[in-house]
Amino acid sequence: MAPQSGDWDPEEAAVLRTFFLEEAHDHLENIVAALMGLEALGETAPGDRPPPRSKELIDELFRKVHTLKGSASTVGQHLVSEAAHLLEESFVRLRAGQMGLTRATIDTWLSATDLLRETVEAVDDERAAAAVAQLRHELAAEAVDGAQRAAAGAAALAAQVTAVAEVAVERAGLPPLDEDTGERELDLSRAGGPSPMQRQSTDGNTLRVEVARVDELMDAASELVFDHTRIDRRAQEIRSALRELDDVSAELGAAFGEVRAFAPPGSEDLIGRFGELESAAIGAVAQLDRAARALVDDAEALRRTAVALQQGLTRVRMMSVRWLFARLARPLRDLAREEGKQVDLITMGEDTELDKTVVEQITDPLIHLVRNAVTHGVEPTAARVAAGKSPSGRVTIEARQEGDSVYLEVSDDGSGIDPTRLRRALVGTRRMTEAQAAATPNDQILASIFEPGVSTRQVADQGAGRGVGLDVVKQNILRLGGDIVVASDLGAGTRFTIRLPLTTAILQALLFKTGGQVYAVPHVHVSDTIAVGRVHGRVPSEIEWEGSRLAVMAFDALLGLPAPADEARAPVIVLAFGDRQLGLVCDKLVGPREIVVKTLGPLLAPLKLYSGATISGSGKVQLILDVAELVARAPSLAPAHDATSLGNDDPEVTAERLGIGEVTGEALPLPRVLVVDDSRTMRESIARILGGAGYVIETAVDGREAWDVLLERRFDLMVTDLEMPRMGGYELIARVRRVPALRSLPIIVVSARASDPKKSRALELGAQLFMPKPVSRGDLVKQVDTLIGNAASTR
Amino acid sequence: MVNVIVFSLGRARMAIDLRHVREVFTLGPVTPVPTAPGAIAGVVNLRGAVIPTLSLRHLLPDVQDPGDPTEPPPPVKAGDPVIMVEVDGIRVALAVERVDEVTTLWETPAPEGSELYAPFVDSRARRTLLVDVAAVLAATRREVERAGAVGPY
Repeated sequence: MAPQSGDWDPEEAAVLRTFFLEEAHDHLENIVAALMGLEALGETAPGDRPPPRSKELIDELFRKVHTLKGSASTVGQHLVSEAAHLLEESFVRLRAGQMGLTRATIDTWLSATDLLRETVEAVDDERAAAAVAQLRHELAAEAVDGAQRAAAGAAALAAQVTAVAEVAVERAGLPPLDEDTGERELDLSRAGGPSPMQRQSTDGNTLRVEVARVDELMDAASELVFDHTRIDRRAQEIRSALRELDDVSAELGAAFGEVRAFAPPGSEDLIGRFGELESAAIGAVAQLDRAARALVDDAEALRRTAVALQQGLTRVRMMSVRWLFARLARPLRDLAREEGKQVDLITMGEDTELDKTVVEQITDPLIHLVRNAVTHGVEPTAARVAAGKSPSGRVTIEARQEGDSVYLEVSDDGSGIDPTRLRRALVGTRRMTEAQAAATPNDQILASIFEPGVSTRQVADQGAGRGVGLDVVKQNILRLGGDIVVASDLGAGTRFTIRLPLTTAILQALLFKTGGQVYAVPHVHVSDTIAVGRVHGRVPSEIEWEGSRLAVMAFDALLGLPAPADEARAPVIVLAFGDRQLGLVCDKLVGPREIVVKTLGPLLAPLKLYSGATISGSGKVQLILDVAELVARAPSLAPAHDATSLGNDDPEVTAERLGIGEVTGEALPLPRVLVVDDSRTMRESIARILGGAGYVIETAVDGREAWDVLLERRFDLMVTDLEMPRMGGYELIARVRRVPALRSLPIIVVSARASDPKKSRALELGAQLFMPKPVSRGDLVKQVDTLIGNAASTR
Repeated sequence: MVNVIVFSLGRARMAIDLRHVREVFTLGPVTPVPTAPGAIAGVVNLRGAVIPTLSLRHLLPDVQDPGDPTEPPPPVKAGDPVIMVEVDGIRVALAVERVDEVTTLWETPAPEGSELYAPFVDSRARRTLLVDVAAVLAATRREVERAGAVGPY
């Protein structure tokens, strides 16, 4: 192998450097793991018989640092090679039994490893290489003999490696160390380095792929789904044109029959030719119809392939939480050392998989929880022993998947959170009155630790404040579409349970329209959809909803768009983010959809109002709103006229609120319609027509699914097809009519073949109305309005 | 000497360094991005990726016709030609009026120009303004940041 960097052309060198960085990070993590493994074996003095497992770990240290050294010199990273060599040298004395294994030496090696990592990231610097030579010289002088001297030497090594690393860092133009955290903010993506995902295991038959490439494939796969939608629509257009052509040719045939009856003698040839043409036309129509049907089937096959491709790619984005858990070990250990506590980290369910984006965004909140568990949860050793507990505390992290969610649990066997102290803190910070605090159950008191500002320093000093920064932790988790809850047993420990979506690439969203554009909000933050009346064309700034006051904001006003002039009733989406709520007024609800989330890219990232975008079935971009940002912009509620509250009771404010109160009675749930059809096109078109008319739409692909949905949720009307797989329309209608609660549900049957026996059978079974396909927008909306209006007035 | 793609903006002959150009295409439906600065015409779907579209007319008002200054530049719409450029991993589509040719330009000693463009000449000595794509993106980015921080609401 060529030892000199000069042997590579710049392009090759860049590629090699990328590979090297990936490999080096693997090695460094293994070195850290081995060092921590050694530490767990306990301290030894020089000349002591080494613990049984230590040989294995020391060998591992050697192998990794040696391989790193070799790789570094291969790609011409001599600085790294030298630094690795120095570390290797200091391990030699350990292996030879010349030095004992103390916590201090492990500390030194760990920080030396950190510095080596920095050197790796700040590669290629000749001046730094000279500094390494200097370092080796001094280290040789330092490392005379004896355990004490060796330890001092290691410390000097650390200092020297720091100097080397800093020079290298300076040369490489990297940002300086953060004074508070001792960390360096490195933009690895820009440096061409590996992302955390890419430096997972090197073992096994795996392939490292840049995330951006997977995202490109995801884009292409979702585009295939849209292609399907377009082809499907064209095929439907062809079929409906064919039906018309069929009708025309039938009429032509009839007309021709009449002509023939009155044809003058001698025109037999002409009549014969007409007959031939007629049958040729019928044949061609039939052939075209077959082709169009086949086209629909082909399009469906294309869609299935595209969906499979999408799902496969979603799997590619998944990574096991093992890497995430490994990142927690170090902060936990360091903090326990700092606090003089003994804490064991226990991890469970490491093979659980999560979307890479979710893993990246959950790492910091999780580290925060682990640190909290060590600082505030686990008691000092003496206190534990006094309480009859084992001297070393335990922090357990468990991951498991349930359906579309992944649960992460961080628990400790520490002192738990004292609800009495928390109550006192809540009263002390004027969040609650004494009476309110006393009347609130423990679990709700406990949940207040996620509120901003609850864990003030003063509270923390009282030992109740586990929640330093827990509000931020919760915000981050909510942003991901997850949630966090806490449970605690005083004296026995605390458990935080985080629920996360399996992936952020696919989102269940509610779509709505404002100013002619469609926007999406994540369904997980939607509590309800209601309607409010406009007063003089404007919506009230607050309404009463489910017994409490809800701030209302018009989305068009937020965007600086004019409000629609003629609408009397406005749909309102009730959004909830943490404990904040907001009623968002839009022009029209479009309905729930499963959408593929795309980034808006770095240029538009500062626009916090949007969390991303998706692409509609017709290929148009639709923006996804950031609910956290929306609720943050919610107008604050006017102070309530409430004797028990801490707000003022200024009579003017009260009057204003009462004025608003007059319209609160109009907050009605929007009517909900279930659309059942096995054709996606039919489902979508009916959903769009009715969604556009202000109804909330859910869809089902057949009678079976519809039946399940009907038993779960309330609907004001059902539109169903007749011929469907698994359970057809007749059976569905018959079943619905047998259930007392559903007996008055209005049902419209929409069917392609409008034959009389079918129609009368559907009506006999209990459908209110039979509409032949294709349905016209105006007719459908009119009929649905009428049926729902009738049903409401008879209730 | 620089290889460029030449396009028209009003009566001005403009150019972009070919090294930044990824592709030229015709705009599909443009989704406006409310609260974004005026230079952002919207976002478009390009083979499944969401690409911001900038109005060069809006960004370079001084190179346009000295016609009615109160007349706002025509809105960017579906069917307009766009040049997609990429700088530092940021991809944007620049809406122009007409894409003309690919050619080579030479620098001129003329002092005119701005932070966002500089005058060059082609082989037939025609004056052509070379757009500094990186500077345009940086200026837009600053405007987006300002809009993100305050917003019109």
